[in-house]
Amino acid sequence: MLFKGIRIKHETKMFYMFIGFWIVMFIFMNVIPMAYSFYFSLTNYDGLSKPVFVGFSNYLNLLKDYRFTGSILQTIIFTFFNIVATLTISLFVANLLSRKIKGQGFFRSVLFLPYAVPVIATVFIWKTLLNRESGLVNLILGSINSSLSLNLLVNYPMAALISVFVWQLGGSMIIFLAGFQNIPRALVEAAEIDGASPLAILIRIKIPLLTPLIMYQIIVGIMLSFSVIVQPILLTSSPGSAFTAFLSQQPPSQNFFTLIYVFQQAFTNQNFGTAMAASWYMLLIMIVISLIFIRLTRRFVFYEYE
Amino acid sequence: MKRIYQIVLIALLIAVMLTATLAFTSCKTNKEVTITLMRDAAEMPDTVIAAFEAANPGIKVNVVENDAAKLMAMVSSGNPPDIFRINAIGSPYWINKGLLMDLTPYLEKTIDMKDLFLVNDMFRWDGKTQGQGPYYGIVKDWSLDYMYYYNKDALKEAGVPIPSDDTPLTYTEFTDMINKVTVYKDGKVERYGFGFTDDEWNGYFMSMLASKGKTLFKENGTKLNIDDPDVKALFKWWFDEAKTYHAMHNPLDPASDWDGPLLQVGRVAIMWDGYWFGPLINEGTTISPDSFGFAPAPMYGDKRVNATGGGTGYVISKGTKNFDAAWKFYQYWMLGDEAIARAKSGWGLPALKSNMKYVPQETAFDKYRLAQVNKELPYQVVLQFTPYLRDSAMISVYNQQMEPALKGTIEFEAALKNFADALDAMIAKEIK
Repeated sequence: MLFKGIRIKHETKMFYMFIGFWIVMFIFMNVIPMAYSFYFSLTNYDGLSKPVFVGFSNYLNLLKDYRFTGSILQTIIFTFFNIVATLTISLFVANLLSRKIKGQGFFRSVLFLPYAVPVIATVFIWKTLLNRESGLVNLILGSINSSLSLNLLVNYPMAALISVFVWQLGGSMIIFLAGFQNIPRALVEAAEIDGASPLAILIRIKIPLLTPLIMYQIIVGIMLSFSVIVQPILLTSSPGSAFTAFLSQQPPSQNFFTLIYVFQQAFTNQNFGTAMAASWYMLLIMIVISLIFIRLTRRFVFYEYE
Repeated sequence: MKRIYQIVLIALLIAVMLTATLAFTSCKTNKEVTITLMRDAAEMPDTVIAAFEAANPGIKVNVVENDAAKLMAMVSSGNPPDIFRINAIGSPYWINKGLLMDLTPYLEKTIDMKDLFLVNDMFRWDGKTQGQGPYYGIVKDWSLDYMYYYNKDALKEAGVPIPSDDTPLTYTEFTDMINKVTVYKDGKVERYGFGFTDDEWNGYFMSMLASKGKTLFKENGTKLNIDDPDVKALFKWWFDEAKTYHAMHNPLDPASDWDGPLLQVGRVAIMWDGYWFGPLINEGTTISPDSFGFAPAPMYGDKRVNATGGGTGYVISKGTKNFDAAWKFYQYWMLGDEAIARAKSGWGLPALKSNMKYVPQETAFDKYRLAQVNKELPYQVVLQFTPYLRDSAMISVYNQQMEPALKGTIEFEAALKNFADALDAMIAKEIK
């Protein structure tokens, strides 16, 4: 096809035809809402009245709000520990499951199953398990020694929350499993012949070859950890009253993440402008963390094809 | 192959355009009217809606589950439900925003206005005072929320005298009772002193202050009345009950369930809630209803008062495009046989005085609790909330600001100041 003297390849035309729909949807579902949210972040919009332009005052006020800055810190801490715990354990489990063991299929299914449990059900399972009076954890501890009792939900709420995510490691596990299965058998056999221990093979051969997947999981983990909102509210918020609306529930400060702050600002305090500004701060922090991480780890990631 | 792609794309385009055109024309030519209703499925099951639709062919009810965040999102997008559910206590906010339909002329045509209980005045606002002016809604049912049920056996165990059915306890006596009945074992709460309705917490404060002739907000609802020593003392009292005695479920000692099941099994000694809580006591299998008393509201000041802290009701959106259909549903649900069915259930008192004859009185406990309510009716007042905040916003901001203090991250005084400042800032923004 000729277009003003430029010949457009048939393949190029097909390419844009196929991705055209996605581009249109991306513009309408992502770009325009983001632009709209940036506009609102420069106003005092409360969701009901006409927005009034206030410039960058929402952004400046956020820096003075100890609850916002505290939530950023808690989100970063949670992100770090959540990623370390989830990926370490899922890598370890995937390594075990990549071997030819009896019941391999059964173990894979059972360990993947929690990943398929819906979020709300997961939270209530763990809330029941960790309940101080009647939870299974304390029942077992109490049977060992009656004075043993953990109040994880109150005293260590972040640990309780991370347990929920580690329990659902099925998704990460499957990705690592696929990675393990793609490692050339010849490399492992050569190492075995040379007398390398399983631990040495794991550390010096398998993990380096898995670094692209680890990198991918960490980047995705950062995005997912920053997006957590339902679990901390339902798991560790105060009283389980059936009448307390989701809006009013307040997780403890250790689990008070930025997205919860955004949600409260928008739907409780009706500060949509502040909520949008906080969202943009969140995006910026996620990008900075991801870029720093990619830059720092570039030399440690092995790509088969550069 | 190139040709096939073009044919497929053209066919898709035609299909999309055809569908859109058909949908549009069907909307235009169809005589059916659709109203959007935001409801709570537990109180308004699908069968109720189906019965209305069967009786009113031509009116379709599009149901949306009750959710505060969803409601705000729908209102913000300019597409509110035609009928939705709010607490009467926070109605001035919605009225002030011009979001609710004045139902007075329609109510006047349908019922005798003198048949309405005083509680319905919570849906009235004249621009200045809650309880005066036009009606923007009515309650679906109600209670005098500051009476309390108490477990007689729990009180006997704690050596606490049984409260009088007729004379209210003072606030000091009430506090003393709560603290004595709270039971600890091995550092765990075995029995909480009292339970309460979380999402109507501000009402407890407002009714206690009304007993002293004071209000939670001052200067026409533009500021939290935090400088008043009685207001501050009340906040400190509530905080201390959570912190030092853990007398109620709170972030330091979260309950495994809400107060209903806890009261049923004796894990809560006193339930600071009104008439509506009675069926939960009736339904309990561990403790007989006859083991419970139902006492008048404690007095913070010299004046004996009682009030409704929530007053859940339904309203019609001012922007509704199908008012006639919406009003038809409103009458069906709020004033017709469904209202009588609610009265018969015993889960609350009816909005209309004439429906009081349907309130259950089969068991001794039901007769007793109704008799106790009737003794309190003369002391009923209409609580005053600010028109510049949603009631749920205040509760959430309280949780946001006070929980760190409860956990020792910040001093109580500082947290209370932060709470007052945050609330005042929200109100100031609203006024601007």
